[in-house]
Amino acid sequence: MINKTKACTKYIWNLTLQKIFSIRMLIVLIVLYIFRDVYIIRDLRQFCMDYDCNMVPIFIPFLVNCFDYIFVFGFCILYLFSDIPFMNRWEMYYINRIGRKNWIICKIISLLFVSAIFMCINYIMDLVMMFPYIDIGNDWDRLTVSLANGALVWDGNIFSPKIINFYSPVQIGMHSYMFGSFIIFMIANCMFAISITINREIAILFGGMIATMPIAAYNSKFVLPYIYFFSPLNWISVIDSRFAYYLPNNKYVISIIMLCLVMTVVLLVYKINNKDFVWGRED
Amino acid sequence: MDVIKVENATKKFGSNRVLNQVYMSFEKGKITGIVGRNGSGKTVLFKCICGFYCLDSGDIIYDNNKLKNGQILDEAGIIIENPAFLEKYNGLKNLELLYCINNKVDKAYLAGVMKSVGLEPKSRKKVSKYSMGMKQRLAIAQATMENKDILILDEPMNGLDAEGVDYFRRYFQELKENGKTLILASHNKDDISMLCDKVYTMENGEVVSMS
Repeated sequence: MINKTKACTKYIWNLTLQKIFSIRMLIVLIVLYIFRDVYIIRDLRQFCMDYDCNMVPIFIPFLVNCFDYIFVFGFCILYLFSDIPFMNRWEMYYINRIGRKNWIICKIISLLFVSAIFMCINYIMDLVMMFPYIDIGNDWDRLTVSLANGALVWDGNIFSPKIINFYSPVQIGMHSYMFGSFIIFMIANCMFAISITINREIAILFGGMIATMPIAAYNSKFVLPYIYFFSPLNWISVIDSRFAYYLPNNKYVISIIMLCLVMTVVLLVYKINNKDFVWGRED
Repeated sequence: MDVIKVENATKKFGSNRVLNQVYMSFEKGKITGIVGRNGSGKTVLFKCICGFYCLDSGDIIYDNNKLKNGQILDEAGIIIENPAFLEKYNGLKNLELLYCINNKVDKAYLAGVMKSVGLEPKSRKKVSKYSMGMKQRLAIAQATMENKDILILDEPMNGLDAEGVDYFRRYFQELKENGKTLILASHNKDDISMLCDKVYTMENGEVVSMS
């Protein structure tokens, strides 16, 4: 029993490594790097260089408030997990030894690891892109505060004064990391469950819907204010009903994530019993 | 004594019936061959026996116990279609990762298994650099290393050179003499005639003859 658990742990680790070092992940990271660079970081770096100042390199919680960035981010996640139902030929010999249920549980756990590592890489990317103009501390730097104040009069700024006033960099960083990891995990798990119960095409369609939801939310927030309650990618940012009446609170987000995860895990464990293994092509 | 029985097995993909009321039995300590053209249903049948595919109707009976539909037959060592391994590791590491699932890793033993199939255990060559024949040898090693009583081998001689084919014919005979049950699919008539005690011929998902 202990042997099997140990072996499953190794298997999960291998699954995670396969995904992290895949061509898909590389493409996603290059797209995000370029988009982020063009979108904001190049200007911020230039600003830091010109005025000889440093910045707290936490941008994700702000970036995910921008509908065009979150749209690209959403499609990157969709592409990253579009090889659902993750049936790789090399796993055949593992399934033969660990069985269907253990296989699906290992897959689910590896999805959680991939999501957490993916978010971690995103944070590291910000750090690398801003290097050496980095301010490490738990107080917002002058530049961020100035830009946030500017946002009060200029709506094109990504830095939200509300977020800066209410949260410290560590708080907001941790918040977005945790929520981001679990939301990506939830989306991947939902896509996985749909691909196992219905088919891959419907699962990808679902992923596409989730990725385009932030645009719908942004454009119709005054007509359909509660659309944010159905757009999980928007929840990666610090959302607080104190900021706007149409935003859901953390309790709601955590409950939905938990509910979704429990439902998809139960569905996957149940449905895998009568699913044909059709091996896909490797990356 | 029959160790595995396939009873009335039917499998459809959409409207395409790939297995149609197949009955087969595989005797303990014997080599049973399955022959048939491409698309006759051999691999699908193997996948159904292994539990990778679920039957639409019919049963797989192992050791007089009816298996649940889609239950993985973990008592069998398998080679199905082309071999596939974690390409970034070498052969020994791949075997280790599989072996440690149900056994305590014994590197010396696994090195011996690799030598027995003609692979160099100390080689650091990654599987991605292996030739088709080397991958096939590694696949045979993974199927046999746990000393399982049943071996389900779909085209095990694929990609092997003439010497390799001769060697593995003797190797499979030895396994049979040691009481293993082998189920073998092959396009090579010599393999079948030299190795098998019983042969089923399949055509369009049906068993058309037994000899």
